[in-house]
Amino acid sequence: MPFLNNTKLKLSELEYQSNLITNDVGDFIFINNKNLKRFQIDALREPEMEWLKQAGIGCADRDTFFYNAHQFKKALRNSPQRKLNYLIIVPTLRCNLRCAYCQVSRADEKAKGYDWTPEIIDKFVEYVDQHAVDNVKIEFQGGEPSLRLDIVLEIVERVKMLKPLAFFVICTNLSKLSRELLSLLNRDDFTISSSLDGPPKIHQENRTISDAETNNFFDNLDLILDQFGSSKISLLPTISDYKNIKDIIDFFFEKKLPDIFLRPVNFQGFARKKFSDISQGATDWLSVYFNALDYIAEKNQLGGHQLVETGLSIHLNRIFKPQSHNYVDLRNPTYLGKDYLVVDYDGKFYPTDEARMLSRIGLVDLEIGNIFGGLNERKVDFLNSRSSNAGNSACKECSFQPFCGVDNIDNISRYGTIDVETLNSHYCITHMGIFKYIFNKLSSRNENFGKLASLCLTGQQGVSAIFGGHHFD
Amino acid sequence: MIELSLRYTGDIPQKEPFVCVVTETGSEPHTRGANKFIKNDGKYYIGGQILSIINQNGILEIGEILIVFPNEKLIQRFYGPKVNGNTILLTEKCDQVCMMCSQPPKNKDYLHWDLYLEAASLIPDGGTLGISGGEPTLYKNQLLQFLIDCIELNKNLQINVLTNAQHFDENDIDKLLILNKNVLWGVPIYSHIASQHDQIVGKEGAFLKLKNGFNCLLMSGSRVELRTVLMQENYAALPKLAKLVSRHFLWVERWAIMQLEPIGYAKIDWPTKFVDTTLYPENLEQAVMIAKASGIYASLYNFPRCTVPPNIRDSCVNSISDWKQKFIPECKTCSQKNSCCGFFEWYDDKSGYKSVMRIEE
Repeated sequence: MPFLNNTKLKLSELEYQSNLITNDVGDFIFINNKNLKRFQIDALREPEMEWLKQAGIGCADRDTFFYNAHQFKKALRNSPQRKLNYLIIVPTLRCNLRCAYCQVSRADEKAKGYDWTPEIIDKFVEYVDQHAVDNVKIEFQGGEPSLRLDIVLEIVERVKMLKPLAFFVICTNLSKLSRELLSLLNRDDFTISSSLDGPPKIHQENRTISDAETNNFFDNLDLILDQFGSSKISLLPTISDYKNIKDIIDFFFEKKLPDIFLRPVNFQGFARKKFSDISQGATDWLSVYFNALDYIAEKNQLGGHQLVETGLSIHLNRIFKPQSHNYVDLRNPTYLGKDYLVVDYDGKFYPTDEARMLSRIGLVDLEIGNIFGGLNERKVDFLNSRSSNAGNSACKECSFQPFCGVDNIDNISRYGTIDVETLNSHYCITHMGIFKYIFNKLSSRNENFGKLASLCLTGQQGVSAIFGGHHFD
Repeated sequence: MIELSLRYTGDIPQKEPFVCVVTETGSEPHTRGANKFIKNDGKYYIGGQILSIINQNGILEIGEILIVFPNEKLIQRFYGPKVNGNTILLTEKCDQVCMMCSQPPKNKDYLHWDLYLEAASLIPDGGTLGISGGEPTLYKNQLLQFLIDCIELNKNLQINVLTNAQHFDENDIDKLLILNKNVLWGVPIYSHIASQHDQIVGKEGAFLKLKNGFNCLLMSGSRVELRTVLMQENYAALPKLAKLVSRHFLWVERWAIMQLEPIGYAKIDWPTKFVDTTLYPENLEQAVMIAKASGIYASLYNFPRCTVPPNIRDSCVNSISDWKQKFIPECKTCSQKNSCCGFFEWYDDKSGYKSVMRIEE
């Protein structure tokens, strides 16, 4: 677009005759059709030009403050991952449940040969010592890691000796709340993560099956919430039947949980075999999702509990905080096998948990080394040959490019290749949809949404007025 | 209240000013060969001579670093291990006349570079030294060299310099680079509108120069604390300043939003300057949230916790030095007194906040 000779600007149309202009570092303004025309024919007055400059959209002369502040932001936006700071480990693949859409693939509780050996434990501790940052976070995944709390305990103790700032989280189905697990939860550096599909009826249908197991789960959940507070536990719902979504949200409100992550059932692991029709329908999901977000925003205004939606929060953080690269599925560039690593029950390395699943179901071998021989650098380099959206011709035209990312693993899982037509890919449809939803809401100064967005970004009771200052009208 | 310079009586052998460290007989703190100012049984000795300090509250702590001026019979307290605001006043001259200046400029300098350097070299590990004015960069070349020498002698010394950043230019970038780990530059910005900023600091063209100063600090990777004092003059546009900060100042360490101190020029026409955030909290709340939403850490200095909305109370910093801090009757039973900065010593109920109240648990 020939704006002010600045080729870095990109335009997209929004609802209500508004438009979005973004630049290469994610500064953005909303502009109505009339002003857009004046903008395009270069008919702006001096104060308007100054406003644009402060908004980051106008051209700044080389080597001036605005120019260099812009360069700084560019470096922040594009900073690559360097040091290992997150490890997902699978001390056992065995599990005592058999959930319909098990995402993590599992082995039978009684099976043999699916647990970490003492040798793997030693090698892992050595690997962390050599490669991880001081405040590394280690996530115990499974299978069901509480079946091998002895290993969990040993890892915590040994890692803590080497990395006193290390942090841990255990992903458990909460069927067993042993005294050892409770004492681990007493530590400030140890939290818990579990699945909660909604009210007992839904959770039972999807996961716990029997009344006894269901009661057991909710008793344990309440015990943790009562004893440690809701910040101790993060709870992830899997939504297999979209018409339940409001009941699920209501239940999260009722339990006064701080956040909910609304995602459709995942197209990976064993889930692939049963729910493929649902997970392909990105557009179907989006309309359900946007209704759900509107519902949360409305409910937050009732004066009671306030809920954050994690997916929205991730997208908003990408828009407003150029330094936010924490979410592996939405960042750019995204180098696999650098800051984030999965170590399976047999000591094999995978770049993400999804990659582990894909390999497990035999779709493609994404193993990138193992705890004995280290990273397979050649394979890592190969996987990273297309790790940025900067060279993608469709992304180049898209105003959401600075906020968006790349997820080659997702493309492999859905299409068996990373050579996909971007605009038709599940990844692009989903994220473009969400960004568009957000900018439409912000552009139209939607009060409820503004407060929800503010809550997502600041963690404090929201103030929608903080999204002012972007409207050129 | 700590007095920063003390008068004494008694004769000492030295005639030239010198640096010394307060020690006890028998103890050997970090004197690194400096002169000893010996404290024994509540009496003070230098080179065997007894001194008496005139000021009533002039009790010196072990480990304090002093500069003694024999001709003036004056002791300057340079560094105290337990004091959190050890600051040297380099000069009282300034090229700006800010409408709320707490220390209005005078035509006086205190440029004892060599003494300061020797004293700074004695500051123990983990110590922080402040440098303020007036405007320290009026002596920019000497100042930068002094800072470089300081960290050459004392590698981990943290130095906070308050400056209006009017005088940096491209040629300073190499020197600023050397300093960028040890020095934190506290730089004020009062408005996103050039003319408004200029009016507040009483200097035409100041905003433009400030932008250039920021450019030098940014290009040298310097650490910066942005500082904004609240006044009725800039309060209406505070959210817009926050927006500017959130877009172009991602490189700063933090943004300090400061409540007006009722002293100096601020006292003149106080009612037209002071912003009562208990009556008008919205703009402050928005500014803090805007900064936070972009990942910039905004801190509220000199705000008692009850004077800001609950959702931004976490940003309040316990910033008022204990020697100028006071609590008012309402504070007695307040649940947050321990984490609160309290009020300035010279705070006056009648001209202050309209609705200060104790915060329940």
